[in-house]
Amino acid sequence: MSRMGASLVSSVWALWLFVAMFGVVLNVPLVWGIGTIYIRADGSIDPLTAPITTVDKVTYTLTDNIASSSDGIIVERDNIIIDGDGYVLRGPGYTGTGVSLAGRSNVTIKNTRITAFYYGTWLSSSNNNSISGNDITADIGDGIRLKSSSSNSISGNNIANNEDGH
Amino acid sequence: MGIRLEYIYYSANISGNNIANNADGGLYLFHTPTPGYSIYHNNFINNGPRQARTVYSGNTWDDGYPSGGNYWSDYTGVDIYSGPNQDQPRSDGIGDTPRVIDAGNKDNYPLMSIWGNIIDVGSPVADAGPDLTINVGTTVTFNGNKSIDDFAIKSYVWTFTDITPQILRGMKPIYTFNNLGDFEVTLNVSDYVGNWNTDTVTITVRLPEHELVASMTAPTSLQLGSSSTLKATVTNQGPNDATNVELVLLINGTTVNSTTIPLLQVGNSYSLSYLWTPTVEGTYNFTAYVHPLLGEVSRENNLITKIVTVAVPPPIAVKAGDWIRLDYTISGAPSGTPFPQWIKIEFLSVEGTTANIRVTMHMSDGTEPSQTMTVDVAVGSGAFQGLSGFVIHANCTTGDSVYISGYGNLTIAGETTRTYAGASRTVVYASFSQYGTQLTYYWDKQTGVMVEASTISGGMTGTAKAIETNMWHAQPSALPFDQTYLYVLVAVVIAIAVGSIAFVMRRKKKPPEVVTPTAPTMQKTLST
Repeated sequence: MSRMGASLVSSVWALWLFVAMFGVVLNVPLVWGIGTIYIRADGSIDPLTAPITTVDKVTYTLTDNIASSSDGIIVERDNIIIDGDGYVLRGPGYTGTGVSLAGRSNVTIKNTRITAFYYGTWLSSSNNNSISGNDITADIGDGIRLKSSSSNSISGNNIANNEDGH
Repeated sequence: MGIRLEYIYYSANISGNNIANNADGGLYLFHTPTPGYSIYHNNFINNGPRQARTVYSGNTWDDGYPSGGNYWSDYTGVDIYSGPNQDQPRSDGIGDTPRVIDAGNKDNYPLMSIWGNIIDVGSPVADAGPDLTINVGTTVTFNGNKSIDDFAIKSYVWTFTDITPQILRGMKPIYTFNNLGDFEVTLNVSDYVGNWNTDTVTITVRLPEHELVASMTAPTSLQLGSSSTLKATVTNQGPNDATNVELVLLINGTTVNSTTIPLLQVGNSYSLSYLWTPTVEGTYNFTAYVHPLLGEVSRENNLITKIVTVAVPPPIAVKAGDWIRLDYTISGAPSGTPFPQWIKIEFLSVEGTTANIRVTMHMSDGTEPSQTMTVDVAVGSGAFQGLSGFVIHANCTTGDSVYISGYGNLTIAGETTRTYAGASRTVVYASFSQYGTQLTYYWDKQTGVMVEASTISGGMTGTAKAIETNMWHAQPSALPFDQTYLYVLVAVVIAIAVGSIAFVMRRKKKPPEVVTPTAPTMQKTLST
């Protein structure tokens, strides 16, 4: 066996041990997170370890896939952009909301693949927002639901395979 | 649902979306703001049961001409013409007729092809749903909604063989399996660029292991204070004997009787009874319920309910001073035994549902036994010399239950018109038959008083029929005099007519007078 081959085997063993210890033994999912992520009114991200980055507290960009056992992202700040950058925001398959806006304005949700929540995107009493270029699929209830929300734009989304709304 | 908008007060723009394969519909506009929504350049693809649904009109479903409206996968129009009015030669990629959403909403310029570029590089992934085990005769709704594609699924085709080849189309087709066996159903989904994929679901159709069916017997109405026996029955209609069958009888959700049947063989029934005497008027929900057994798939027939109305009986419609007399006709009575010839019922006082009556019976030996009694139509009508049911509440109708002392609850079997005490009356009737005795009652509907009672028992028949009363007036004859006089008059007229005819005929048959010839000598003398 060459030195390069031995190094490769060692790397594979190390990776296997890593997955076994942290991915299986500690039940850590291979994508990040199991709880709800908040974008707070002061612009902070809660928790700090969430795979979302911002430099100006205006544009928030996902840096990895996210799996949640309840709600995905709850937005508490106005005048921001949430850019999924093509990453997946995945719910538990039976409950929760992918991206939730309550009383918000001028928020843009774009380029996010939202799937397997009860509601993909929920806007309540939120005006002048934009939902664009997202892939919102396989939610149990509605892909996009707006309630008491005015002057919003829904464009360029793929809204497919969502089930029975209530 | 793909998109649902509700309680929106200012317009929203919905454009450029691909809204596809959403099970409960593509777009639902629960309210419409002013101005309405602007909805254009979207692809509505295979959303069920409706691509778009609105509550109000006033929305705009296109961006004008030639920009166009939306693509609808179920649009059936053609594209032959062009122009804002779609009346100019050549096609233009816009349907010639609007795509109607509902009475107040239409897309004036439906697109003939998908809006935007179809970025569809991958094959769809078919999902025919989980395998099922069902009872024969069950209708299955297939569900291909879990099938996915990176753009949209264009068609769902389900194929299998049930004696003959079957082809079902759509995301959620239905089919009733009436034959036993395992059916492998293949779903083939294809997307808009021709990619396709399949998945198979197995439907196992079997006879039910158990099939318990509940039924019940209960009146539709009951008089307050009276009683009725409610009966719940379970029947084993399945292919196997059933053990530990639990049968419950409930009134308004409260268990009043229950039992566990250790063994209920195939085809057998078991009944549970409950003597019910409601004390409060109202509407009651009577339920018979059989706990389903393990392996019993069809469970909807394990429960049956019936509404029973309990009402305060109307007061007696007779008044103090009323009376009625019924004459008896009896045959087969043993000789030497006095038998009744007539009976008279007199109402001495009446209050609510209670009356104080005197019953007098005139016997063939000249005696007239009499008894005064109180009767309550709600709980029984008293008895005298084996006879009861003198009065029931007024205006009974078919199906009503009346309590007759000595016979229990009788159900009014029908209504008819008959002549009693000289007048045509509407009467209701009920019968009782048990242990060789047959009894039939007729009561005057308006007053509730007995007008006829007949019994057949042990070779003896007796009928008491009303011939006289002060409760209604005998109807006068249609003729101005008694019919006997009419018959006599007719006979006299006929007799006179016959006599006259006979006299005339006799006169016509009298022979002509005979003329005697003259002697010749005499004639000669005269001629000389």
